[in-house]
Amino acid sequence: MPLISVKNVSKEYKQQTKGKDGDGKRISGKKLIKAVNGLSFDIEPGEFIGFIGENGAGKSTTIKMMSGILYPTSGTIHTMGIEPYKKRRENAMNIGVVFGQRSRLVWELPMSDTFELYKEIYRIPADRFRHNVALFTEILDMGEFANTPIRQLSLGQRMRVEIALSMLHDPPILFLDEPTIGLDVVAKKNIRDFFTERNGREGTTIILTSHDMKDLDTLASRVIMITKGEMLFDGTFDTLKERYNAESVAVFTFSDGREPESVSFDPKKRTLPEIIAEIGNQGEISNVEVKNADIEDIIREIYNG
Amino acid sequence: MKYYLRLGMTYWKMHLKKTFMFKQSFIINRIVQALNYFVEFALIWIMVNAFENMNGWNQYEVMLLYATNIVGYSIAAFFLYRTMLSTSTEVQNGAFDDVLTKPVRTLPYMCFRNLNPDYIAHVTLAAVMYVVAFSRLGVHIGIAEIAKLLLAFVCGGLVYGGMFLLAIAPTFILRETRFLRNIIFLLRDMSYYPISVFPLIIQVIMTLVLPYAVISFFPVQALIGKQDYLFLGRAIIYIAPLIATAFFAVGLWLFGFCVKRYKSTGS
Repeated sequence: MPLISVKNVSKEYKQQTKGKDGDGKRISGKKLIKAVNGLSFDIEPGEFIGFIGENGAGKSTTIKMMSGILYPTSGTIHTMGIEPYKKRRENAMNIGVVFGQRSRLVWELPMSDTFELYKEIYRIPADRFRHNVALFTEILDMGEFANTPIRQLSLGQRMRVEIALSMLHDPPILFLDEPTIGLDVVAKKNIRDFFTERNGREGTTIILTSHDMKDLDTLASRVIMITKGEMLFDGTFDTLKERYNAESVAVFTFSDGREPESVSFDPKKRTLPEIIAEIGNQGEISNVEVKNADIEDIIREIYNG
Repeated sequence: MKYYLRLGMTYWKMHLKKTFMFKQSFIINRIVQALNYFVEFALIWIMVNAFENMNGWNQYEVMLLYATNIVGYSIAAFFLYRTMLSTSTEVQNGAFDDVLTKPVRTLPYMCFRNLNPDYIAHVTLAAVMYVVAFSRLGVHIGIAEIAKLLLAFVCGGLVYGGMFLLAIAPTFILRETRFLRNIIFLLRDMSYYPISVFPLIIQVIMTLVLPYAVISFFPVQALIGKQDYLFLGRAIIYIAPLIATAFFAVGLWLFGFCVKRYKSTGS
């Protein structure tokens, strides 16, 4: 049985609309918005899912339904055998949640005070709690600011605390909605290492949404891509790159100072030496710069195409 | 139950720790707050004095009404005042989502996060007022009186608690409900006076609809043996706690009803 099973799930909102029509007449009414439309997928234990979609694609709505915050309008979701929105509290014990820029930390006090609260909320046994706090402090490199009030921490430091907090009770499932937004390179690396460790060692199933495609490319083993609430792609990154024309670009600069020339090519069909030989006929090459299509280009192409 | 007590205590310790980080400002704020309430009562006192008595109630009896009222208010506000202030913002910016991802019942969790130690000012002022009023009125305080007083506090806590819940609940659907808060305080100001001074329609509303009369007007009469039962008989003294409980239950029901209809905001 899959760990998470999403079956034909839709979520509709009624949105109040107010404005003027073409003749300047006032109109108001309710518009039906389909945030998620007939979405289905299964997630197996231990998977690391990259959940991709443009703004408003329905990512957050889907995560909120999977974490028990919202009821679907139709369809069913099961996480670990229960419908999360029907058994919200039971489900909460199984999941850890990080919703980007929203803080749950006690602003005036050091992180240990928020940890203590979570120990009680999730009934974490004392030895498990001590073990996790020590381990997470080390992996996420939080030792140097462990006794500093949260309000004095940087965004990256706070996010590390948030992430540790979401995992204190060892949930088998972790939902991460934009956890690395606005963070510097060092903080991002700490956080990525932590996710890799949890996923690899503890087998934690992680569902991650991010606009940082490098995050996803390095971390996720599978991509679920949605647009306008519907499934666009579900598979590995390699399949994604294969399926959508992943072209590389070679930019040639010439010794005689004329305009550089760009050549797009599919590395599977033509090799770089072949292209160099061909372009070399036009003049003496002083430099070649090759840019391989990265995941960001592919995603852009998919959404634009 | 044990789980919720433990969790409540853990949160309470955390709130105290936060408060004591800014000890001086906390103390100064509480003194100013107590003075505020004192001045508010002084104005009522002057008014009662001008009329010599108010519908058969003297200044010290009105003082008991005031003290009992603010203790009831403090009990409810200790749990719910900050929740009332913050819910609208949390619903609007989506922070309320986080509450729903916790393995805790929604209302206790919201209360615990927002416990408010500020009401020490109200309770202290009320204690002073009780000492003054009881000695001036020559009320003997025995076990029966203490029990009646405690029951009065419970009634007050329930009615104010019900009012806070009625003000909070619609926020989950309407998102902005500041207008409801004003009703709580408008009626509170009215309930400092003997309810019998108001026209019949107000008496009915304040007894049976939004039962502010149950907070202190009837309980104080039970305490000092007064008989100002409005349009009702003596039985109202005994029914009062039931009215308070029923009103709180309505608040709880509406809260649950509205939370279920909560629609999260986008990311």
